[in-house]
Amino acid sequence: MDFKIEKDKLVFIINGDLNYQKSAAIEKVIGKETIKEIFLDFQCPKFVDSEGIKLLYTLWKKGFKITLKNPPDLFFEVVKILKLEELLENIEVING
Amino acid sequence: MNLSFSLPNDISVVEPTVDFVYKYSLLSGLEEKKAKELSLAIDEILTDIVLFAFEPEEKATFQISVNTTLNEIEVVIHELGEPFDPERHKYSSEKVKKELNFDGAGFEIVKNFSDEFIFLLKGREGKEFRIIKKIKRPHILELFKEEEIKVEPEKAVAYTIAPVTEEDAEDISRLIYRSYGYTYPKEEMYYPDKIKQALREGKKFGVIVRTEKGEAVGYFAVLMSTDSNIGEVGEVVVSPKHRGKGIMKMMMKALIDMAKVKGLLGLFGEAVTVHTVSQKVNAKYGFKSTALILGVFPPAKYKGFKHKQQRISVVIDFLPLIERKNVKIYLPKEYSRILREIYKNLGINVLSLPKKTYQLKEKSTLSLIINYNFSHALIIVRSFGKDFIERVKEKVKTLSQKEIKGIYIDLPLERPEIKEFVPKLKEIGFIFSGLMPLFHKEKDYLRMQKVFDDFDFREIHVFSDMAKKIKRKVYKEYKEVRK
Repeated sequence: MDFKIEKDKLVFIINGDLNYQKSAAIEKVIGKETIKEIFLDFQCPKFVDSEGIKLLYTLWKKGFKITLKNPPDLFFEVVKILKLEELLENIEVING
Repeated sequence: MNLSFSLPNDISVVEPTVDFVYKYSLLSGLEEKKAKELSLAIDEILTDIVLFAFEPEEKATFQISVNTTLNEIEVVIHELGEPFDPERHKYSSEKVKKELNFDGAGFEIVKNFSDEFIFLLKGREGKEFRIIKKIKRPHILELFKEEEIKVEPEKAVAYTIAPVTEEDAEDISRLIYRSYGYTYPKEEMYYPDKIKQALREGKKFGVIVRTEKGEAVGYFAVLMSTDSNIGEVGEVVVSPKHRGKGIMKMMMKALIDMAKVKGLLGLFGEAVTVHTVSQKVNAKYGFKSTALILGVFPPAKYKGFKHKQQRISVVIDFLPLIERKNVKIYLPKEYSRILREIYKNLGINVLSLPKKTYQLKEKSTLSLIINYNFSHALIIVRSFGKDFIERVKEKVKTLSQKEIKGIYIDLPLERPEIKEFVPKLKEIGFIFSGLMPLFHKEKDYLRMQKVFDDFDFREIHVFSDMAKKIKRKVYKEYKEVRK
């Protein structure tokens, strides 16, 4: 998984799904940086699994500003199933 | 098609496995959204297994199998890790909000994204997760208007016959609907995509007959057995206005030729006994009766025939496509005479193997196939063990509780143990059914049967002399059991 620092944000290019393995890798990178803004650019994802949701929710709770570019449709459904809609109100979503 | 593989408990296997399931389910006909949902459910289970089922440094493997039918895709994951009780790990959004505790979130997702989800704790045999996604396909009436389908092709001067291809699927569904309305017993024939898939996967092959205008008026197919290199002449339809024109004959001849070219060892037909029309057709093409199976199908009304409503029995008619002059088998003395006659009728001489001493294994190997649609079950004996009769008794008990009306058991005639177990099966109510030639792994099997309904044998109509002899034998044993 690729990442870069752009101005004051950490940009991750997620190829495929946001699963446990990728969530753990993102967490590791974030732990080494002081930047509090992250940008996830999804490329051909099918889903964000519960580990991915856990990562995003935890980061939001820790005060990170989160932007998702082209997240998969199932992401929104999973958030609703887990009754965590407040997450959707506190992250930015960009499509296109 | 069924695929099974074993995977190490390593997190790096999760993503490629999930991607494989996604692509495989798409190829099997699952819609894209549902395929993504299934992939997510599999991701959740595999991640949980790899992270939590085993000790952190423990090297272990787990099994995954993906089974597809025309109607559904089923993924079964089996592992021998630590016991786990999902009731103690229930998801709660309140816990997430208060403690960032996501316990049970994966299971919550799996339950929501499966059409059926079964979690089994199997004691020492580990844990099993079964996820099923239903495959939706368009019905022929969603593709065409009913008035359009019902238009019967005009009488023709000449017909052409050709092997069926995927492109014929819609025409076949239309032909079935036009000729049978909703009464054709095999529902998948009303779904062109299911026909296409079965043809693509080599589950069947067949011929289609068209008029000079290209209208489909006849279809006949052989369904490949999944357990042996034989096929069933199982799907046939001729448009009403075009019956009596030799179309059936033309198709049967072509199918037999195709089956020979494909190297099949034999063809068989399950001819209903409500009437003898199909049996007569089979006999005309050299098929020989080998068994009478009671109550295979639920009662149904057959247009144009007066008959009592009872479960429908079938005659097995078999056409050998290879020459077999002799067979060496163990003949159970109870059925020695009738089996010899059935073989003789097939042009095969029986060399009866002498009694042989054998050491029974502890456990028998049995395969069980349950057909819930038709309320019957088949037990195939792969090998006999000391527990054989107890296992059969157990299965009979469980199946009868599940409202199964007919239990059939296939016994390998090449195994000496058959002589010991036929009388024992008779003691628990099994009776003769007949010979199933080359039915499993290209070997001959004796079929016995146990039925729970009452049968009026006067309503079981058989055509060939051999079928009449088999019927007499079945009736005799049926009466003895009912006493």
